[in-house]
Amino acid sequence: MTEAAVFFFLASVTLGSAFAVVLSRTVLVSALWLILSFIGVAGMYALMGASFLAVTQVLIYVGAISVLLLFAIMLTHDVMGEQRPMNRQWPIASMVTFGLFVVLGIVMFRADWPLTGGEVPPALGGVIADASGVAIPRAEAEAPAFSIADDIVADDGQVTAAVRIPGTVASLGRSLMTEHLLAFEVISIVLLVALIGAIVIARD
Amino acid sequence: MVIQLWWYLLVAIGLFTIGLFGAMTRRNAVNVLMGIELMLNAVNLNAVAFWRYVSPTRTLATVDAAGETGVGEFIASMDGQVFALMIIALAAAEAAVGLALIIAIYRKRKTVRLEDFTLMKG
Repeated sequence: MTEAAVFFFLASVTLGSAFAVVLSRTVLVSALWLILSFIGVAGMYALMGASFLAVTQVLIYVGAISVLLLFAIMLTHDVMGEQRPMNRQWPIASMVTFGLFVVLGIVMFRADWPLTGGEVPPALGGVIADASGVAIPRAEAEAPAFSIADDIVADDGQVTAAVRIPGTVASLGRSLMTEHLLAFEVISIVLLVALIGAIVIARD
Repeated sequence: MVIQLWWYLLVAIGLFTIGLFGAMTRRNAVNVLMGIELMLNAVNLNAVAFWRYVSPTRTLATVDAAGETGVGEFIASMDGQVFALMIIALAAAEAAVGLALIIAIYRKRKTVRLEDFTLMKG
């Protein structure tokens, strides 16, 4: 119940400030609403248990991208806003986007999502039991690098072996460094190239 | 009430279409970038929602604070979050290059209105 209330609050903050971003006359005001929208999305990540992403969202979007946008607005001297913030195609654009909203909504409701109903592991891990079902202190359990034994599944509710659940943050780091290593390295190079490119383009 | 997958998907669809509307209609180039950022955020929200609700799971034994043992289904894959992280990194790169372009054009033409960017008009 509380979770649902939090969700509705975050959803209304996110969508409301997104509307304000698109509709406000002044660019500066748009940028400030955009920050609020980013914070709403970060809250939804936290609500889903993606704690690392929630923090990353605040750091990258709220901390870096919004400041970059504000800098660009200040540097281009367009703080005052203008009479007509939208171009002449806005009635057509609103119809097209509303149509897209309806189509996507229909597709979403008709699709048969294969829900699995898994729980999110605790953020820092450490829900554990040894063979006799006695809880092990977190520090002790984490000492040998994270590994999950597959044969600990209890048939009749009995715990048959030691269990270690790595936290979501640890699993994410492990995943980035093993199965997604290539993507990780490529994105690093992309970031480097983009930053050098930005410097080259923007300098006098 | 338990939060369902489609709640998040509906918010993401709304965010995406609002961002698309902004990117299509605003005259200020910085505002168009903001619309694109909103759309990227919607995609991220989708990726994390799918991670949360349709990830492969693994059955594990658990112990709660009172020492009671049980069995729980836990999410076993981080792919959705990895997708979202990659998109966040790409969004940062895109914002840096986009704003650098806007500033470079502003230096030359003293405007950030998209309809004044007519250098490549035939």
